[in-house]
This record gives sequence, structure tokens and C-alpha cells, in this order.
Amino acid sequence: MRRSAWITILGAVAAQAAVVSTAEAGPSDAVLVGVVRDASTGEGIEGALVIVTGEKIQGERTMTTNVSGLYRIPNLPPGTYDVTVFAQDYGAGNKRAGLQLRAGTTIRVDVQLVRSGTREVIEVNVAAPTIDVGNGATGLSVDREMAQRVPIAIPTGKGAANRSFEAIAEATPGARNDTYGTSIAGTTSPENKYYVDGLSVNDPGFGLNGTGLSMEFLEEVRIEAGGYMPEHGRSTGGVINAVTKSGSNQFHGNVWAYYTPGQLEGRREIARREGDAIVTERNLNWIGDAGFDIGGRIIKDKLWFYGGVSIARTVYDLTSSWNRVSVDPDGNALIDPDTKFTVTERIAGTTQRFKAQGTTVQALGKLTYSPNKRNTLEILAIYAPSLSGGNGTFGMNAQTGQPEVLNLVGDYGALARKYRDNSTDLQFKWNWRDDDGKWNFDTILGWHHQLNQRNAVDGTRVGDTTGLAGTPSVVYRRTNNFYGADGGLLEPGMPGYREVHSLTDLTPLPGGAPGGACDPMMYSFTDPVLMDAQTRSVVCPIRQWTTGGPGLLYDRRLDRLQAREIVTRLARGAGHHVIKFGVDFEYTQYNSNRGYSGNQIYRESTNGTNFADFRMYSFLSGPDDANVIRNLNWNVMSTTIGGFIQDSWSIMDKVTLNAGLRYDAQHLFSGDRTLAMALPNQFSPRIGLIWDPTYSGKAKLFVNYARFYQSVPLNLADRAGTGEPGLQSFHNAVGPGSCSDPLAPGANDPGGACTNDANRLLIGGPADADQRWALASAGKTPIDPRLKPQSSDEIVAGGEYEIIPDTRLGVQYTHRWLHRAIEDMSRDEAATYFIGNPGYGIAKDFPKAKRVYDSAVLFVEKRFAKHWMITGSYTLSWLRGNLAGLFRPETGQLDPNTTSDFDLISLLENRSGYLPGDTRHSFKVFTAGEIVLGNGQFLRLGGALRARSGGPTNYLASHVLYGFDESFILPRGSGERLPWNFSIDPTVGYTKILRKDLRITVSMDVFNVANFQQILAIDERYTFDEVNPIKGGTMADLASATTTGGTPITVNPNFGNPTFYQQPRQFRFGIRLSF
Amino acid sequence: MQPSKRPPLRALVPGALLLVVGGSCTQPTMNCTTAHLYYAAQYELTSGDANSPCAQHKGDILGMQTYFATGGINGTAKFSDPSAAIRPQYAGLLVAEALEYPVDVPGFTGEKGVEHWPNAVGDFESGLPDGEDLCHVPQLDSMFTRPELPAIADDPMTADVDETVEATPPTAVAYEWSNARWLNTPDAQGTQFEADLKFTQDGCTAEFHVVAVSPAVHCVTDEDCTTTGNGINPDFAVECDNRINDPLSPDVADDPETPANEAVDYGLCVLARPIPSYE
Repeated sequence: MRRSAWITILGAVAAQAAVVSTAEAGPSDAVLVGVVRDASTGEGIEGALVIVTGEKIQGERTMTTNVSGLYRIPNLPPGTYDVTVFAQDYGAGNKRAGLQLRAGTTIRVDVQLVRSGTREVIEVNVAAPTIDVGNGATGLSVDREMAQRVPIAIPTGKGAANRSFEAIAEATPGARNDTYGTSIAGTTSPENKYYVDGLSVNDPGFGLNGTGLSMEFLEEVRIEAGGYMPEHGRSTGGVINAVTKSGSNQFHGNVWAYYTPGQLEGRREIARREGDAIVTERNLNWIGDAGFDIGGRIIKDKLWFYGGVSIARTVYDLTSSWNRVSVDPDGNALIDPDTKFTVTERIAGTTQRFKAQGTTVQALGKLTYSPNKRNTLEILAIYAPSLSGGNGTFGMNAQTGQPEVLNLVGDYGALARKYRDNSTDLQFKWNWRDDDGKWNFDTILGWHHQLNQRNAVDGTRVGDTTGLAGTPSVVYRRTNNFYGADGGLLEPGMPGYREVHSLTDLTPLPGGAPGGACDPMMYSFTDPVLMDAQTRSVVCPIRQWTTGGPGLLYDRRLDRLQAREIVTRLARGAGHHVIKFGVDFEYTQYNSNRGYSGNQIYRESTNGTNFADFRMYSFLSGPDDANVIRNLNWNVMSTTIGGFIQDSWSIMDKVTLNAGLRYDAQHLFSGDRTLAMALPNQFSPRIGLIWDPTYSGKAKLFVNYARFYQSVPLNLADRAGTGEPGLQSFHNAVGPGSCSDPLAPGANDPGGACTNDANRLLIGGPADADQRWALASAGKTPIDPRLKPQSSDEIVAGGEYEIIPDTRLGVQYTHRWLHRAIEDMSRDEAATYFIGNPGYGIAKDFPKAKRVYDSAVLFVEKRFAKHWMITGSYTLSWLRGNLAGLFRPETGQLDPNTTSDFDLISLLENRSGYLPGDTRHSFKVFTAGEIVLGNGQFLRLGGALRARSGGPTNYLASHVLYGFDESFILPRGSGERLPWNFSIDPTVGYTKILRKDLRITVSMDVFNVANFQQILAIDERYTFDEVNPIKGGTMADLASATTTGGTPITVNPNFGNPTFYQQPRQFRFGIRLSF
Repeated sequence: MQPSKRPPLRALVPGALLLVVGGSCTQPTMNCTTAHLYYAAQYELTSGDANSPCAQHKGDILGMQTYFATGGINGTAKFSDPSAAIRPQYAGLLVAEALEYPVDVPGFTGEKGVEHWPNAVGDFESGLPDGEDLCHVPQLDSMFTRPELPAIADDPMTADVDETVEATPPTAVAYEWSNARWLNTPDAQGTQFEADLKFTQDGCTAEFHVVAVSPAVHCVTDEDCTTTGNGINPDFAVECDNRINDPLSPDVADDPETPANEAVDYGLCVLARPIPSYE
């Protein structure tokens, strides 16, 4: 046998390099391809033996070349490899050392052999090509090196404290942060698919990332923005795959700590607001994380471990103070001539300080067992508990990473909650491959679990009848009225004259304030718009104040069980084939127990004469026979089964054809165990062509078409598919024995002033069977029998070229458009809803849902080698349509597939235009380098630079049923564009090698070093009035526009004013010990 | 070891699993419900003296509501056990008149539940529609006697106004609805209704066939019934029936003093065909 001649050499190589196998099978695997040629003739050598070794695989992988000298080795976990090639009559081996393979890429390494009689292995140290010649997917890979050297994750927003992998995804060309994560290719963050080592960790309820694992535990994050293969599905956004580190035969570990102090923050621009006596400033106190990880062997060459713990904490300061209207000695309120705001003055001694804080712990453990060359087994466990709020502090919103309140307009017990957000992941993986590398089987069993609790700050929980959980929430919101029905100005004491509440009516003046600082006094207020002199008396006006209990409380438990089997088969026939097929089963469950503290939220009417049951779970069992549900507890579930087959066919070593088909079927089930929605027949074809014009892995041109289907999160089965029944009645608040204070002792008890029928207003008309109650919502929302799943289509095309070793330059064009959307709609103005596809089926009279994304990307990437790296991109993009995605960016409403976008016919006009994510120009540059100081010392320098043109703004008004900001007076995007936004985030660090395998690094990242305070958002609420959309209207039409009542529009004095500025300058200090 | 034999066997597993995909391809059936907004009902006389006062009804506005039994999952409603209420505006106005009467009405004011007198309530046969997408309530009845509205004397304090009101005699009405059925599909969520009605007022009885559509839309011409955004499903076959007069939206008579013709004959949009009435 010709192989026996080399056995000794092989043995030596194998013994040297065999370290560990992690068998990162599936989505993160890399493929190595190439041609072995005769150096003198340039012809391919048949039967040459290619051996791949590396720290991430046990033993070696071998493959013999075909008749044209081609070899192809798939299923290589990302990492560094050596490739050794031998061929008969070519005596010497040829070794390429230190090849870097990134997750999910196909890299080509050609080898030339010289005929000779020597028996020595020639080692060549040439950088691996960087072009992925097997794939037409767009996106970005961020490895450990880049994540540690470049300050990508900014210390604000979701996943900021522990620098989670979803925050890193923002570095992808064309990606941007949105309210709930990272938006990719014009989509919304809940549309992404999040994986940790191939385990799906999406929140089963809402689609967000459910396990925000710290980058510290990761080898690499691969973000597939588009053009991905059929093995990825159930997502119309991007695919974000975090690959965790693994243990090896050598012990390695890190200890790290990062700290961002609030004291060093740059000056914060405060968004000024008209109107309220309470002003709250929010400042970072500190944000930081610390942790360690360690990996090594338990049994050499057989069993390895990796594990780590990280703890992250975020603390914000919330400082509120009271302000009173400034009145001159003549009794006139002062108006700022520039802003038209009422001038106010801070009342000394009224400052109150609170903290909003949250702590997250992450613990990860991984065992890898490779009993023989064919089998690798792996168990991964992640536990990440999170706590925030309570004990005098406010909580952090786990979905957005921001403090739960903006302005402290209410009592602590009513505004603050205590949160517990845990995630647990458990995964078992088994990889089996045959001896000659033709068959490869990956079996993945996984469980993702989440616990999300929102409790009262006194520790009471949903369903409790005592404490704050047993106390109703009460919202005071009386408005001003200075005009009679005839339009004449009213004076105090006249019928109809009404002022907003004075703060001291609702809460006592803080002790340190001068007595009587808020006492009413008569003054004259000249309305800056109407120029009427109104007589007012309230000097500490408050438009809205919340007191009592905390309102909505919940206890949600979510589970995602998954089983996946992927088979890879290598085949030959008119070229090389990597055929993959598999099945993918997921069962998700969402147990949602929710309720309002004290059963309900009471909301004062704007005229102050009654309180409504603004939110109360309840239903009618007979005329005016209301049944209150203290806590509504549904358990909904979904099954998804799918399969795919794909072939990556390398034709004559020049062209790769990727073709495949994916099938998925999702079924959602209601809380009563019946079917809620069927989404079968999701056939997703994917086809792509890649051509390497250089035939040497140094360039590629590609084009790819794909259809993507969206998995529907369980929130739909819970809310629309099962129902949140609610009723409203109105409690008279005027006169003796009335419901004037829902928090008075006994008022909310059975038979109390706020629960008895005597105080309920008779609101029914002559034909209403119920005279005291109005239905707010009933049971399930019916589904269009012809409903189709939500899907997008995409075409990507582009090219890449390796201009110098390690550096590639590329261009990409993406065109992605929504094919069908699932939304709820009502054609009788909110009386009944149904779920369907807007523009199709029974909703054919509704406009079609549209979202079209076009982008052109120019990028350059030089991976870290020879002491420096750079990744830069320029993206030119357009995003147009009438549906942003699974949440509404204008209001933050997160109800996937049941947002208010298509709800009402009266709201459908003017919805098409530039969507909130429309960013015309975007530059991103990430760079890092090190200067060798000698004596084992390095100076590390680097930074991130981002520049982005501003997004569109709108003219919004209120809608009679849906409230503020739901009516587009002018077509979407008619407002002035926001300004450009720049940020420069440099980093400087110092590394010292203390001894072999032990190094220390200290670093300082500066975010927004120039402390730019650019406007990120403005108030788009043109008016608080109810105004219907002006079809195709322009600015000129605004002047003559009227409210639905026919009266002139009162412009919101805050319209167009900044509401949100760029984060100020922040410093992050880090220290790391690596061994 | 024969690895070549083992992989194909294992490779069959995905295929076998895919075969059991199965699952339903049809969407769930909706629960029985009435619509939440008012219905415009057309009354067609089927029995009784066409000249009698009680046979003069050409239609009415009907209010309806669906109720669910208690005892569902975790304290919620039992959606499988619904009942319906029908409340004609004509009957409701009789009660409203007494409720809003300026002086106490003996035998009415202070009575418990007077506001519910006009409600006819009956149980659905099933929680789900039948094979023709119809939900049935066999019988719904309401009957009440509104007491006499007493005479009101002139207020001596206001010499220039005569507040005198004559007494209104008591009146007894009875509505007996039978064979009531609602179309229940995602496209028509109880918004098309049909029933037989036996109406009795003060001893006079007439029987009608009633067809109704929700929401109630006032109209002058047929075009008013197909205006976008009026709330009626645009696929429904509807027309304007000017014979129906809603006392809360009365016809406008011509003003003889002006040359223009101000007369407007308001009607209600009704179904053009028996249910299901589609274009």
C-alpha cells in the first residue's frame, strides 16, 4: 500500500498536533478546499494525501485528492490548523502551518509539490486566504481577537453590561441598534435567529435574544446578514451564532474586570420639556463586569472541560426635582421667547435621588468527550440569573437594557418593580463521522428556559391580595380647560373651568422645601400659540401622576426544546458535493401568568369627574354581570418541524453552486389546548452561484436568491390566540360616597365605593344590553382561513478580492423585500379583529404590507496579523414601506405579528414611506494594532469610528381609539431628517508577558471621545389632538388641517424638539490576566 | 466495522421524522359570537294584520352581546358555553324615556334591573358554528310593562314657560325571537344575523322575518352603504332601505320657506340577500 511508506511521518505529526476536538458541528463549521499541483507542470496530482491537524480536532482529518488534484475537507470547527500534503513520487511533504479558519467559511488552500527524493517535510508559513469561496452569505465574523482589541460593544443598551454577543452584531455592515437588539438588513431585532453553539436561544414569547452570553465566553460570533443556506431558517432577519470556547489539553484561562464609572461621563445634553413640575435626570453611576474562565483536560486526548463565571452590574442615578412656574411681579407667567416653553424654577430642597440597578450573573460549563476518532460528545450548560429593582431602587427593563422609568411622576411603589430574569440552557451534542470522512452526523438536543418575573417592590407577586400587589394602580391625568363650549375664555369659578392637578394635591411637598412653595396663586398665562391671556392658579402643574400599586405584574416561564439531526455526505460526481440534509424539531411553551395589582388600573377622566377601569382582566357572564379575573394565566405552545436538503456543488473547481430547499411547518396552540394558528408549507428555496475567477481562493463573485420564513413568537398565541378579556366601567368621583379616591380604605374591596354598581355611570345607549359595562376586549382573534406564513425574499450579489495577504476588499448589493406579513386588522374600527395577510385573502381590501430594503456595501477586512487589523464598511441603503417588522419603533410596541400597524382602516392612510430604520449612509471602521515595546511588552492601540446619516421623522397625531402618535397626518417620513451622528471610540492598552503563558493587559476604552451630543430622536407628536391622516398631504396642508371635531389643531409645543441625545463620553477601564 | 452500512440507516431517520410532520393545514374555527357594534335590522312582516299598529315596524337598530359561562380555565370564561342578548332600540327607548323622566315614575324608578328589561337572552346551541358557519340560538324572549309616566304639573316659578306634560299610559311589549342565527367566520364575526320575531305590544301581535347586518350605518342612497371605512365588510351585499326610520336619526323635512329642497330620507344599510349575503 502506498500509504504505508509515510506512516512514521504521519504518526509524528499527529502526536505533535493532536489536542482537542470540539466538533462544533453544524452552522459554525468551516470547510477547507484546494488543489494539489505539480510545481513544474501545474497539473493536479491525483491521490495526494491531505492531512489536517489542529487544536480543535482530535487526531487528524485526511482526504485524498481526485483526478484533478482537488480536495475538500468539511466540518472543521473554527480555529487554527496545519495542513500537510504528501504524494507518491513527490517525496517531501509540504506543510502549511497556522491556517486560520473562521466559523462557517470555505477557505481554499492550494499546494504545489516538487518532485524529489528527499524525505523531509517542508514547512511553509503562508497566511490562509481570507475569501470564503464556498458561500454567498453576507455578514461578519467577529473573533475573540477582534472583540478583545476593539471596543465594539458600547456601554449602553441591551446586553451592554456583560458585553453580550448581540451587542457585537451591530458591527455588521448595514446593521444598527434598535430598541430590542440589533437590526440586520432593514429588519427588526426580534426577526433574528440567535444561536449559542447551534442551540436556538430566542425568547419563545417575543423573538428577542433570550441568552445574552458575554463575549468573554466566546471563540467567535458569526453574523449572517443574508444569503444564508437552507440549514438556517425560521428567521426573516439575520442569523447570529455565538460559538463558545472549548477546553484543550493545555490549561488556559482568563481573569478580567471592566469598569465604566459615571463620574467620568461627559456633559449630558438634557432634553427640555414643556409642562411638568417634576424633572428627572438620568445619569450613569457605573457599569461593569468581572469574571474568569478556564479550560483544560480531564483525561488527556479524551475528555476536556471549559467553564467560567461572569458578573455584570449596571447602576443609574435618577435625580428628580420639583419646579414651579416662574411668575413675574405683575402676575404674568414667564415664557421663554425662543422655545415658547413656560419658564420654570427649581424649588430648593425638593431633590430626590434614586437608583436604577440590575445585576446579571452568567455561569457556563462545557464538557467535551471524544472516546475515539469517530465520536465526539459535548454537554453545554449555561445559567444566567438576573435581578433588578426593589429595596428603594428602580429596575432595569430586560428587553431594552434601560431603566424602567424615564420621569419619576408617581409614587415609588407605583412606578418601580422588582424584576427577576433568568435563562438556563442545556445542550447535548453528538458528532459521528466515518473513517474516510464521507459521512458526518450531528445530533443536537437542547433546552432553553427563561423565567421572567415582574413583582412589586415589596416582594408581593402577581395574584397576591396583600401589599402592593393587592393595591390598584391609580393614574391621575386631569387636563386644563379654559374655554367654554362657545369658544369663549373661562374664568375661575365658571362652569367648565378646569386646571391640571397641582403636585401637592397628590403628594406632599418634600420636607426640605420652603413651605407653601407650590401653593396656588392667581396668575396670568399668555398662551404662546393662541395669544389668549388665561387665568391660572396652579404653579406646580402635573399632567400625569401614578400612585397606588405597580399595575401589571407577571410571572412568565418560557421553554424551547429542540432536537436536530444534520447529516453531511461528501460525494463526487461532476465535481465535489457537500450534501447536507437534516430535520429540525422545536417545541416552545409560554406560561404567562399576569395580573394587575389590586385587580386593575383606575384612570381618571380628563375632566376629573370619574375613574375608568382602564385595565382589568374580566368578562361578562350576563347583562352587566362582570367577573373579575385577578390573574390571567395561559399556557400556550407551538411545534415546529422542518427539514432541509442542500448541496454545495463545486463544479470543475471553478464554480460552486449552492442549491437547496427548506421546509417548515409551525403550529401554535391556545391556552385551551386547541389549535390557534397553522402555518404549514413553508417552502424556502435557496440558490447561489460562486465563481472564483482566480482559481486560487483569492477572489469570488457571487449571486444568491433566498426566501426566508418567519417563526411566529408565542405572544401571538397568548394574547390574540387565547385572549385577554377586559371590561371597562366608569366610577363617579363627584359627591358624597363616590369613588373619589380608589385608594381610600375599602374603596376597592367588594361593595366599596369604587366597586359598587351605584357609583357606576350608566353609559349604555337604548340598544345596549349592558348599561354599566363596555367590552374592551373579548376572546380569541379569528384567523383568515387562507393565512400564509410571513416571509421575505432576498437577492444578494457581490464580489470580493484579496488585495494583499490577509486583506480582502468587497462589494455587496442586497435587495430584500417582504413577501407576506401576518398582522391583525379590523374593518369596523376596533370592534372585531382578525389575523390575516394584509392585502390578501379576506384582508384583500387592506393595503399590502411592504418593506423593501436596498443596500450597497463596500468593505475592507484585514484580520489580525503582523500586529494590526482593520474592518471597515460603507453602506448606502434605503428602507421603505408600511411595516417596520415585529415591533413598532414609533411606540416601542412589541407584539410580534399583532402590532397596531394595520389595525384600523381610519389609520391606514399615509403609512407608506421611509421607515424608521432608513439610514442613507453609514460608515463603520474598527481597527486595532500593537506596538512591540520589547521585553515582552506591547502597546495596544485601536478604536471604532461610526458615522451615520439621520433617519426620517414624522408628523403624528392622536387617534380617537388608539391614542397618541397613531395617526400619520402627513405621509410617513415627511418630517425633517435627523442630523448626522458621529462617534469615535478609541482604545489604548498595555500588555506585558509576565512569564511563559501568563500575560496581563490593562486597557482604557473611550466611547464618544469628542463628546458629540447629536440629536438621536425628536418629538414627532405634532399634536395631542385627534387628527385623521391627510391623504398625500404636504406641509402646506398642515395650516388648514383640523381635528376630527373640526376645530383648529393645537400644535404640541414640544414638537420637533430633541427627546434623545447621543450618549456622552464614557471611559471603560479593563484589566485581564491570561494564561 | 462496516461504516458504509451504518450511515445510510441513520440517514433515514431525518426522512422518517419528516414523514410524521402531518399536522393540520386548516386554521381553527372561531367561537360563536355576536358582533360588538349595533345591527341594522330589516323587519319583513310574515303574519298578522298589515294595518295593525304593531305591524308597522320596517326595521330597527338592534344591540347584541355575547356572554360566557363562568368556570373556564384558571377562572376565565368558558368560551364553549356562550349565550346571546338582543336588545331592540325601540324597546330600549321605552325604558330610557322612563329612566330619564323628570319626575319619579311609580313602579319603575328604584326597581332593580329596570335597565335590563328590554334584553332578550338565550343560550347558543353550541360554542362553535355548524357546517354552514352558522351559530344558533333557538329562543330569546323579553317582555315588560312600562308603567304609566305620570303627568307633570306646570312650575309656578317659571311663569313664561308651561311645563305641563300629560300622563303617558302604561305599555306592555314582548319580543319572542326564534331560530336566531349568526354567520360566524373570520370575515363575518357574527355581523350577519337572521331570525323570526313575534312582536306583541298592548295586545297587538305581528310576526316578522328579521335580517340584520352590523355595524348599523345610516344611509340615503345605496352608495352610502359601500363607502370605504363605514365599517361594513366591503364584500357584503348591502343596500339602503329608506323605509326604516331611526328615531335617533330622523328624516329631515323640506323647509317650505327656502327654495332648496332640504328633505333627506334617512334609512339604514341592510343586507341585500338572505345570509350569507355576499357580493
